[in-house]
Amino acid sequence: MTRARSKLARSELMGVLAVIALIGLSAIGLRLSEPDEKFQVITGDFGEPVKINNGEVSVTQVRVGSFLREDDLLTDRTAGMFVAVTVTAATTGPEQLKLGSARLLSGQVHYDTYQIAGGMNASPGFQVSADTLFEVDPAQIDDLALELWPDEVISGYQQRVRIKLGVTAANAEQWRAAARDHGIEISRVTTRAIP
Amino acid sequence: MLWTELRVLIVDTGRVWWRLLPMIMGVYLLGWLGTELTLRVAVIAGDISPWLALVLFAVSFVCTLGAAIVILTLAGRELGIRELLPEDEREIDDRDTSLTRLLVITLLPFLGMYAAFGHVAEAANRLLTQQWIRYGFLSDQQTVLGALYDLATKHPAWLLALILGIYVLRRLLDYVAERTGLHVLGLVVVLIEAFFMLMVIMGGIRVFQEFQLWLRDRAVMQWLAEAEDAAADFFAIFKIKLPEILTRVWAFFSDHIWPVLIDVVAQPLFWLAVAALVFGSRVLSLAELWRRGQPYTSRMPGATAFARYREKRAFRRLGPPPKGMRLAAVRFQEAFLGDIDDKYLPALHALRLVVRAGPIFLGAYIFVYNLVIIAQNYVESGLNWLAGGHEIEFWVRWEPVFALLQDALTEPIRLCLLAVAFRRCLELFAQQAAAQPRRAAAPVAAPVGTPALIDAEARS
Repeated sequence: MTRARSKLARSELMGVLAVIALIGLSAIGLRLSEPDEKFQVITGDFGEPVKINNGEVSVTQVRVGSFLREDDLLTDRTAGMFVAVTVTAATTGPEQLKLGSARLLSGQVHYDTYQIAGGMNASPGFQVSADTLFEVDPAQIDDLALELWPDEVISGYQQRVRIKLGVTAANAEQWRAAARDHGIEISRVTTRAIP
Repeated sequence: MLWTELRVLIVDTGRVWWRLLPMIMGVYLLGWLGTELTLRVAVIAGDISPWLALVLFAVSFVCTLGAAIVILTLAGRELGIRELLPEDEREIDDRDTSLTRLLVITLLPFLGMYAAFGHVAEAANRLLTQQWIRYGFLSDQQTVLGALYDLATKHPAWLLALILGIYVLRRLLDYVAERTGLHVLGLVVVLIEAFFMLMVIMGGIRVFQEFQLWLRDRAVMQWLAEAEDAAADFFAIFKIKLPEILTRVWAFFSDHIWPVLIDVVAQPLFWLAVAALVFGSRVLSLAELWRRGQPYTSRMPGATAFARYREKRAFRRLGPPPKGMRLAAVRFQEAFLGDIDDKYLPALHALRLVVRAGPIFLGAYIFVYNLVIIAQNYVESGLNWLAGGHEIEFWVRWEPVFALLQDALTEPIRLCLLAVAFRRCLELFAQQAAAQPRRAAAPVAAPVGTPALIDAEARS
């Protein structure tokens, strides 16, 4: 009688453990099936045009410094590092290309824009070039990538361009050295017809 | 045991879905068409009045709900849920003969579920997005949510009066519909009920937010903050960083435990309980009796938790009928408490019932239910991958089609699973009842006329 009861208790315990395992599996499955990024990432490299809806985007220049200059006057200084990324967006499609939001990524670290020189909006047949400025931690700049996307009040599944800037663990020290006591002048937004 | 439950749930769901595929897809598509059409008309109707848009928005919910109920009924019929009832118990409930009656009974719990798990907010956002696209973000044209926001923040008393007025109107029409048996009136009641629920949910949230803002500026909140600081200072003496510990504990609970409890465990159980209501109070009552191991012959009308309010009152009625003020009080009580008793409490009792089906069955059911949701998430990711990223104009135009493709593949399967799971519950209750030694045929509640019941009647 006691043996049968203990067998029943053991089988009940096993059942409860199995149920907990199933709930755990369900939780993991649900978590994995929900995408972290609710946007399509289109990757590219420095200097190469990346195709997105309505156009192409490319990073043409990356500059680093520890202070900002405007007409030879010091306007801002950082204890970290400024990174200015020159982006060219060309509208090859029939509708306006709008890229209003940007951030820099280095692994899990995200840097929001410090300043955008102007709107990255180009009408069909035109290209616009502008500097996007970031303030970053010099210790965390490995594999820096620029992410650009349309600035929408409400959005669906968007496209985001992610372009590697050529800063790697191997050359990060050179970039840090280049930034020391070096000033950056933010260039003006230029718009011209696509050549 | 566990394997058996998993096999039953997966195989039977697949079978029912496959057998009924043309029928349930037809019903689902009709529901989708009705929902989308009324939503589009609601957006246009917003030009005339945001309130008209809200009425049509409620109709779109009724379309979604109507399709879900019909699919559940079809699956229940295919599974022979009603046939599980013994011959002398197979009484006809009015929900079996009238879809509008079924809608009235199940609308509140269904809408409650939609609201609790964010589907009402999701649908309201869809309507708002469509209206923003139509009017522009800087337009003066009032949207549905804008109108509700104004009413809740500037004229909360009007909102309360409106909600009360709609409730009284609905109860009145409900009474007339029951007396006359007019199906058209039943449909009107359903629409009013949907409108009422949306007003409560969407307007109530605004009132609650206003209350939170009001509360934030009260002195009592400052006292609480000071008490919190004092407690932190006290624990700092023992080198215990109380605020940090509490923050970490709360973060762990809210980030890891709560989502698992709500999304993984509670959601499948609540849906099963609400779906159970569709299959009829007789089915639920019998399931309850089986669960208790009591023979069905002991059942008396009004004795179970699933009986209608008037049946319960008839079961408990003692002595001569009330007169004068007492009669008015009873009528008032019936008008208001009857609604809670007929609609909210059965949902609660159904939840209690399914929870007692046993941990093995519930674990298997929760797992299979979540498999369907996981499949739904992957279908969504797959469709996004196929379509690629686009700006909002594209999604506003094509979202209904993508939503249809996503839901049409998984939603009927989910509904079939609910029916299969409920039938399995009934089988388990019947097995449990058969396994238990037969007790003396005692009624569910105490016999009529006992002092306990006399007291209860006097209190009521």
